[in-house]
Amino acid sequence: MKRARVVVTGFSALTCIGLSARKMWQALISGRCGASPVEGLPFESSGVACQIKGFEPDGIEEFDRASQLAICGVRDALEDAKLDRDTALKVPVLVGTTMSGFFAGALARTSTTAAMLSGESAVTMPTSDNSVRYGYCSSISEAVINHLGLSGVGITVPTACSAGNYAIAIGAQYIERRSCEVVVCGGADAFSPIAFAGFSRLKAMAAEICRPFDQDRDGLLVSEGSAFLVLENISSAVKRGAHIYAELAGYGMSCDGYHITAPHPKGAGAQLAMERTLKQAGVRPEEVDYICAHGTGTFANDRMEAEAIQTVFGGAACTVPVSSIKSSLGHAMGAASAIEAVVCILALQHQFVPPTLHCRYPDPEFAIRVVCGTGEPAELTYVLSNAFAFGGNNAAILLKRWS
Amino acid sequence: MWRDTGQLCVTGIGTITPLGIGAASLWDGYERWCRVPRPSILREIQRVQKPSGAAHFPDKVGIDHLSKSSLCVCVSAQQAIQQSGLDLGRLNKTRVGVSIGSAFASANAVQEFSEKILKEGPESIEPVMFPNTVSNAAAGYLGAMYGFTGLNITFSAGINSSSIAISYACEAIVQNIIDIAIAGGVEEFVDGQDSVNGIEGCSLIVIERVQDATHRSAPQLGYLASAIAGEVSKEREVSWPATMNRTNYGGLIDRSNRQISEQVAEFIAQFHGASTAIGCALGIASKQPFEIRSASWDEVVPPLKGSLIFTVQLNGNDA
Amino acid sequence: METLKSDALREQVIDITAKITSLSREVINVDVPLSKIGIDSLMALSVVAAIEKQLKVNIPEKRLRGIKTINDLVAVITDGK
Repeated sequence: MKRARVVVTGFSALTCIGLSARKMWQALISGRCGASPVEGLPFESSGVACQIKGFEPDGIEEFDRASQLAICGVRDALEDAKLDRDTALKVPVLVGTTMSGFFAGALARTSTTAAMLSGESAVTMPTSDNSVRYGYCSSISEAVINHLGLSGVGITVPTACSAGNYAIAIGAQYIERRSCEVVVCGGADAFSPIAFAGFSRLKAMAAEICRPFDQDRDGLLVSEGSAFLVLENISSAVKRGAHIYAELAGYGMSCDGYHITAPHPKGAGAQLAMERTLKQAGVRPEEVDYICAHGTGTFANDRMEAEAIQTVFGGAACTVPVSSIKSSLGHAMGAASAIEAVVCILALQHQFVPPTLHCRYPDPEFAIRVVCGTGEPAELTYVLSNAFAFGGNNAAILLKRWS
Repeated sequence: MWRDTGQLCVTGIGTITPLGIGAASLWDGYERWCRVPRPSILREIQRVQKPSGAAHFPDKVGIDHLSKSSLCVCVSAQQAIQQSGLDLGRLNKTRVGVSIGSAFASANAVQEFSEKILKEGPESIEPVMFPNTVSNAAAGYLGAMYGFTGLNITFSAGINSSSIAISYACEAIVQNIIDIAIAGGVEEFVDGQDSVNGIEGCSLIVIERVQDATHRSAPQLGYLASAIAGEVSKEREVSWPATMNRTNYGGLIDRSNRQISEQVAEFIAQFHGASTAIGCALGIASKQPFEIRSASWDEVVPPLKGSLIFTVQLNGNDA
Repeated sequence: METLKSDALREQVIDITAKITSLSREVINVDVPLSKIGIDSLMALSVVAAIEKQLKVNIPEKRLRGIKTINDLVAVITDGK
C-alpha cells in the first residue's frame, strides 16, 4: 500500500522565551536568551537554567506541571488545526517526555517535602493528593486525554531527549499506514531538578552559557516547555480546506547500541537516523537547506553530531547551515525536539535560519557551517531536525516547505 | 497492521516475576493463584527481587548499578535470546530492534534519586544514578548491552504499554525495518506507593518471521496474529483508534469457558504495563490456543479512555 | 619526595576505583585504557566523583577529556593541586 503523505495542519509551543509559537520565534530571531539563575530548587544548589516564567494556567491545578504543559500544548495545537469538534475529540495523542510527572509524584511521597517546599518552588505541587495520578510515566498522556475529554488513545513516548521526534515519527507512521487521519504529537517536560542535579553530576552542565559547537562549550542548560504538531493525512487536510504549514517529508529512528549516556564516538547511530530520514523522503543530502541540530552544547554531543553530519553530507557539510536553538532556549528534554520541529516550520514559513546565539568561535575541528550570533535569511525547502538521547535513542525528521 | 496470516512467530521468551524466573514458573504460579481464594483485586504489591547483575553478566563492570527494571529487562532478554538460539556472533545487529512497554517505567529510580537528594543534597548523587531515572533506560541498556541498533523504543500507556510495544515491534518487522525484535514489558512499582495494587515483573519475547525462524530451525513457540489500526478480522469487529468501546482483557484458553478466561484476564491485568507481555508468556507456557486483548483499566485511576485494541493469538506449539 | 606522593596518590586512586567498580586491585592496570578494563565513561565519572569527594579536589570536565588511563587521572589530579 502506498504510504499516505503527512502534513502539518496545526502546531503550538510553550517555551522559556515565549508562551506561544509566534512569540517564541520572534524572541529567537531577535536574540533573546531564556537563561537565568535557577530558582526554586528543593535542595541546596545553584547555577543557571532556562525556566518558563509566568505559566500559571487556570483550571488544571490538580495536575503536575509537566501535565499542565502537555494539556495546554495539545489544546493549543488542536485549536490551531481548526478540526471539527467530533474529529478533534477522537484524535490520538502522542506525548514525548523525559520526566513526566515523576518528580512531583516523588515529592508527594517523601516526608521531607513539607519542610523543603516553602515560598516559590520550581516544582508546583499538584493540588490532587492522589500521587498515583501523576507519579508515573503514563500519567502525562492520561492527563491530556482525561482533561481534554478526548476519546482517542493516549500514548506516552518516553524516549528522553529525542522523545519529541519519536512521537512525531510514530504519529506519522499511524497516518501513513492509514490507521487514522489525524494525530497530535509532540513533547512536554517541566523543569526537572533531577535533570539539573543529574547533568551536573555528569559534568555536562554549562556554568552560565550554552554554546553549542563552540570551541569553548562547557555543557547544556536545563529547560522546560512543550510543543505539539497536528499531523494529518494530506487528502483529509486538502478535503477540509485546512491550512497546511509544512509537509513531514521523512523521519528516521535508530539506536546507537553503544552506551547508556555516551553517544557513539563516530556518531554511527546519529548518521543512521539522518540517512534513514533522507532515504525515506527520497531527498539527497545536498538538497537539505538547513539542519536544526540537537546541539546540546556538551563536548561529546556536539563533536559526535558534527562528525555524523560530515559523514552523511560529505562535501555539502561545509555549506549547509547548521544551528542549535538550545543556545537560546536551553534543553527542554522531551519537549526539545518538538519545539525544534515548530522552529523548523517557522523557519520554512519565514525563510530564515535561526542562530546558535552564543556560539562565537565554532570548534575548528568541525567541518560544518555553524550559523552563529544572528540568524540569516535563506531559501529553505527542506529542513532536517536531529535529536539524540540517552540509551542511544536517535530520531531525525525532515520538513518540507508547503506551497 | 498486517494480515492475519500468522507470518510472525515467537522464538524465545524470558520472564521474571515474584513467581520465579521463566515462563514455566509463571504458569505454575498462575495455577496456584487460581486455587487460592482471593478478593477480586489483590490488595497489595508483590515485588520481584532485584536479580544479580554480576551473576548473569559477570563481565559487565558496574552492572548492579542498573535499576531493578533495567536489570529485569536484561536478564529476561538473555533468557529469551538463549532460548531462540540466535547466534549473536553472526547476527546482523542493525536488523534487530528493542521495544519495551511500561506504565511506571523509571518512577522508582526517580523516587530513590529524589529521596537521596532531598535528604543528603546533590553531592550525594552518584553519576550512575542519573541515567536510571529516564524511562527509556531499560530499553537503552538492553540495546547497548547487545549492540542492537535497528530500533530502540519505549512506550508508556498504562495497561496497554506492552501491547503497544509488541504490536509496534511486529509492525517494524512486517515493514522490513528490522528482522528480529525483542519486545515486551516491565513494571517496577515505587516503594511507598500506597494506592496501586499489582505484581512486578518483566516479560520479553523474541519475534521473527516464520520463514526466518524455519530457515534457521529456531523453536516456534507461538504465532502472533495481531491487528491494530482498523484491520481486524470481521468476527472481532473492532477498530482503532478506539472510541469509548472497551474490550475486556482476556486470555481465552477455552473459548467456551468464560470463567477460565476471566481468571486469566484478572491475573494478567495485575502486571499493569507488562500485562500483555506476561500474557504472551503465559499463553506460550499453557501450550494451548490463547488470545489476549488489551484492556482498559477504569477502577482505580480515572478512566483510560480510548484503549488500544490489540489481539495476540498464540497457537499452542503442536510439536 | 614527589614520586612518593605520586605513588601514594596512585594507590588511593586505585583503592577508590576498586571500591566503586567492585573490580579487584590486580585487574586495575594503571597503564591500560579504562575502557579495556571494562570501566566505561559513566563508571569513570562515578570514580572521579568519589575521588573528588574523598581527596577533596575538583576536576573540571575539560580536564577529563584526555584521560584514558589511571595514570592519566593521577597526573590530572596532581596538576590540579
